[in-house]
Amino acid sequence: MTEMGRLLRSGIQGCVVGTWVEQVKVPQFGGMVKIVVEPDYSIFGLIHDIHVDDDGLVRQLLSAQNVQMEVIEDNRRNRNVPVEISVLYLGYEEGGDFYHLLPPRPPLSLDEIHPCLEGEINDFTDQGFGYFRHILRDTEIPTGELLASHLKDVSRVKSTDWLNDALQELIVQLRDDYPRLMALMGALRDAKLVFEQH
Amino acid sequence: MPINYLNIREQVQQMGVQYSLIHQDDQSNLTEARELLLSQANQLEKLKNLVEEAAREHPYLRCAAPFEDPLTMVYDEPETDEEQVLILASDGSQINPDRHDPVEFGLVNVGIFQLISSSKLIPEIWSHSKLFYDGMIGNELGNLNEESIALARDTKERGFLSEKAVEQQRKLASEFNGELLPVIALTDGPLEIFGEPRSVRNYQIFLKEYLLSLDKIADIGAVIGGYVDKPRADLVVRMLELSLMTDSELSKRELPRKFERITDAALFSIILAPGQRTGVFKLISRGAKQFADPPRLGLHFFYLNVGMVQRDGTPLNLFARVEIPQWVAADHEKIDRLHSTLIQQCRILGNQPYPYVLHRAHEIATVRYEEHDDLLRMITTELLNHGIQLSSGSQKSENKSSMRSRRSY
Amino acid sequence: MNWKESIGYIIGGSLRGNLRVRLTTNPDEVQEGSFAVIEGDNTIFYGLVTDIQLGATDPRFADEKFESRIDSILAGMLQGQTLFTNLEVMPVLMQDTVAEDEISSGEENTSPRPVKTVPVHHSPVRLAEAGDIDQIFGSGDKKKNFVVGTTREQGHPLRIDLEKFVKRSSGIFGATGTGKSFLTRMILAGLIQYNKSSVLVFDMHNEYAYTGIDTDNGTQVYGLHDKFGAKVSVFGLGAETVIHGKNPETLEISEADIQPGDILLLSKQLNLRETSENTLAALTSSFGRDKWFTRFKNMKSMPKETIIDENGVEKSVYPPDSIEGWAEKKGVNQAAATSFHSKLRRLFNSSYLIEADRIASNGLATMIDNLKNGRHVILSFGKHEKDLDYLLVANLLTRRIRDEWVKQSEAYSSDRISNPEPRPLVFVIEEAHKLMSREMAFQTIFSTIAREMRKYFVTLLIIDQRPSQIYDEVMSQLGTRISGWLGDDADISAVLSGLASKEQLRGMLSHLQEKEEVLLLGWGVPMPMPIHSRRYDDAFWEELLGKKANTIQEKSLEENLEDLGF
Repeated sequence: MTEMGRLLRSGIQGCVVGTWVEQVKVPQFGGMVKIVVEPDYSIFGLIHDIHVDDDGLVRQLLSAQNVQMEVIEDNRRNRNVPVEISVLYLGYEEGGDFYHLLPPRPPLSLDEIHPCLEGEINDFTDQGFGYFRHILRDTEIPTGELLASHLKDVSRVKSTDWLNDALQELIVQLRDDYPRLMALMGALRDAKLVFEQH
Repeated sequence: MPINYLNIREQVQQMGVQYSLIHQDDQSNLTEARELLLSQANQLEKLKNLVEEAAREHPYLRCAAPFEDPLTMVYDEPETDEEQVLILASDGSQINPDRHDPVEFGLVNVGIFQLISSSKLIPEIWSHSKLFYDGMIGNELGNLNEESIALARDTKERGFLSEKAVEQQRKLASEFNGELLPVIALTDGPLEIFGEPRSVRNYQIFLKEYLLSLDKIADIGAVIGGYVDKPRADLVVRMLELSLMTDSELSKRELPRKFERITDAALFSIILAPGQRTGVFKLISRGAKQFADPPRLGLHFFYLNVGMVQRDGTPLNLFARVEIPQWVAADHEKIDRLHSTLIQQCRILGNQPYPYVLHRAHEIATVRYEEHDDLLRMITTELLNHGIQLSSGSQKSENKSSMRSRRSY
Repeated sequence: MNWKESIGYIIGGSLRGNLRVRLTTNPDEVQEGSFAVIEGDNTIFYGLVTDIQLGATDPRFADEKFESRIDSILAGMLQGQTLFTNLEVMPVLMQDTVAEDEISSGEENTSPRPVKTVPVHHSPVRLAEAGDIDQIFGSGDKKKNFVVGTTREQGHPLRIDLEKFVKRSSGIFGATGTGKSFLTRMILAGLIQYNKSSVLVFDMHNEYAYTGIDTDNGTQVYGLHDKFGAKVSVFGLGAETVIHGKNPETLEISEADIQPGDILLLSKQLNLRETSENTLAALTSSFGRDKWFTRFKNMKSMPKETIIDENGVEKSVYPPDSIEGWAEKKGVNQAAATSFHSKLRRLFNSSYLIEADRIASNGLATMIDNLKNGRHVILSFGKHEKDLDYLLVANLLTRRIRDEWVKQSEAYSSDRISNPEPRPLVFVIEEAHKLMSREMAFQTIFSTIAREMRKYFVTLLIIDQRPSQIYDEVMSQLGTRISGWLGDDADISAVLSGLASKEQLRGMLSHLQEKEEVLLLGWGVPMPMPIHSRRYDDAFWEELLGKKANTIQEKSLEENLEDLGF
């Protein structure tokens, strides 16, 4: 597993992970992550915000004139960017069973977080679409973009049928919320996902 | 408990009154010191002898001595032709042993940053970590304490730096038509090691290693400089004070201070414009004596104004003190290269000038708090794998830890 | 139910309002008037679609054509969930469902009854199948169930119960050209074939007896006599009446049968004045109810003449058979009397009104006999197509024949063993508004018959294009109403008068196709139902009469006698 960072703070609905990563390795918005809390208890989450902290050095560089190419390349290739990743909980696995409920025990700090493997994504999403409600509950996050990004991410391991069903479920859940549903539609259009006509 | 502001307020007011009086004294002292600087500017031999004699009488004397330049000599920023220079900077950080942890250990982490100016090549970075613990085989520390770790850090900084300097100069020659690039190696803080703390058992071993590193750098004809940001030293001021003392005053056990609280930076601020440096001075101190053999290691320094001319035309003076070994002090070309490199590097960070390479080295070296916890966990797990049960750490440590983790989200 | 068959599910509604259904198929599979079946947990509900409404979870989904903003597949998915169609279904009947074991143990399904509760949310809804229609409207295994048309969506045959049809007066309505006459022919053919009641058709325009040509499309239109032969007697009004080249039996009306009320009925047509009633009263007082007409007919308007009386005095007197003389004698205004006489001349000159002692044949008695004995009568008016003739003859005959039925009924009531039950009789009246308007209602026998509700085994079948002009009390007594398209709101209201759920049926009526769509409603049908009416064609006759139905019956004498019951 690839370690992504450490838990900075955690609650019942989500957590914040702090990490220093090279720019090219910043985890993906809408990507699924797994927190192994105990050997048979893991929490699944979705990255809904990636916040790059204010970097004092970059601010200093901006105040100078004529920054040399070497300095630019250094910042691009070498410097680890302080990143805070916000994760929304989608469910958990306990004793081999998957639940699309909020985890009964939030993870402690210093737990490790890893991007989900394809098999883990598959197993979790095979349980249905109950986890969508955790995404839809939070009205502060850009739901449309997040869902489109998530679906695009999982589409590499899920069938078109699953995608279709997922979209139907989302439409049903959002059909009374015009702005959010149309935002989702627009994002899906831009994500260029392939759905099938039934 | 919060501060008792009622109690403090009056004291602060008193401080204000007293400070204004002190400031008035200091201003007049500063004026006098500057006049003395000007009047003694060319009295180099006199001052050298004076300092030499005073140092003999007072082994703990710490001051400057003239080298080759008049006291008021200033050098403009040298013009360069986009010279490609291999610049290496190192910095170190440490984890001090904590008796409240389940197991005591120390860590030194050194970071090296390499940049080749005017090359457009991607800078390179390295880091090296060294673990220390009681009973370790080949324990160079001798005893496990903060001072030992600090000394190990300083030593490792220079040691790693010199290794890289030698290695990289040789390696990069093939990329530059077989030519060896000029090298500048920088560290943060003075080159001098202060005294010999009793608490460091293997001090001499460290010192030897330290001096050897400097030697290696000298061998490849590189420049090394210790960069002291916001210097508060009064080395030149002390030298000037000596010129005012009578013989009886000179023979006193404790030398009188006329220009106490006047710093060298304040002294030179009227003559040193942004981009300029002073002449080179020799460092006279107990610690500097350790650098006397071989002579090329002898410690010297100069002041550098890394400030800038503001939009309204007024100068913003910001000073640094740069310590250099003798082989650099005696070579004008090397000093010029160091001078121009430092100014260019400071300009990169705009309105808070500090050498970019040193800043990056610091970033690479920094050990974050959570890494300490990670390392501790790694150690305890490994020991547990060997059947060693450790205590859970002191209650004080636990409480501190829980305080740290109590944050809102 | 297999949910795949369903067209939707219940989402709300009430017993007093309508049920609301979320449609899960295309709206074009359903139309207003569709027969819907709702399967509750233990009860099946039957109802009619009365409204179809488009909706959206948010009006913006409907306002904005998002198909242009997102691709067609996404748009399709979105449309399926955010845009919807709701039906309003008027529940009419309900029926308990019976478990399999209860059926096998001999218990039958309970029959449909008026709705008294509602189905639960999400009960599936489907369109009625042939079985549902048979369950409600009757199956073809009973002779009394007569196919009158088919459901519009799926073409399932729909029947009316002819026994129930004739238990009350009925009506067939529709604007001109909507096919009322064809529908009437079909109903009459059904009644005649079922043969549990007799019909007397007042054929004002000579359409029903003999085969003719449909002037719209040139096709043959079969006559009832041509198809049923001797079962259907044809009478022509007046001697020497020829109908479609044929000579029917003659019906002449005795002048003795004309009552003052019959004349007053014709006030408008004869332009009678208010004094006419007084004159009529004087005439009946003078000559009696059965002679006044003949006597008055034979009077003349004459001036005074000079005579010498027994005393030899010269007097100026009116001749004895003069109108003026009679008027003077009776104290009736002479001018009124002469004017009245002059206005009655149209009747005096009618070829079908004959003096009592000069009637050659008793056509009326024959007619009554035919009806009593199980045959049916069509009275064709021949050349006497004017309103005057129609009003006089229809009212007069109906009154006379009804009187006969009243006698039979009373005899039957008093002694059922000795006296047979009267055969039910249906008077078929076209242009009914001329006889049953509010003004006419109290002057004619028809509103009485309608109100009596077959007390005397007599009902009406009225055919009309202006039901709003028919007395509303008559309309409200009609059991079965079959209506084609009506354009006038007042006519629509009239057809619906006295019925529940008027407002919901109103739209249905006004949306019928002009031809071949009718709405069945009223007491005589289990529930209102728009249908595609049956065609009056060869196929109809073949089904009704069997093979060889499409030739005009040329029966032998023996066959004819057999038909007559001999």
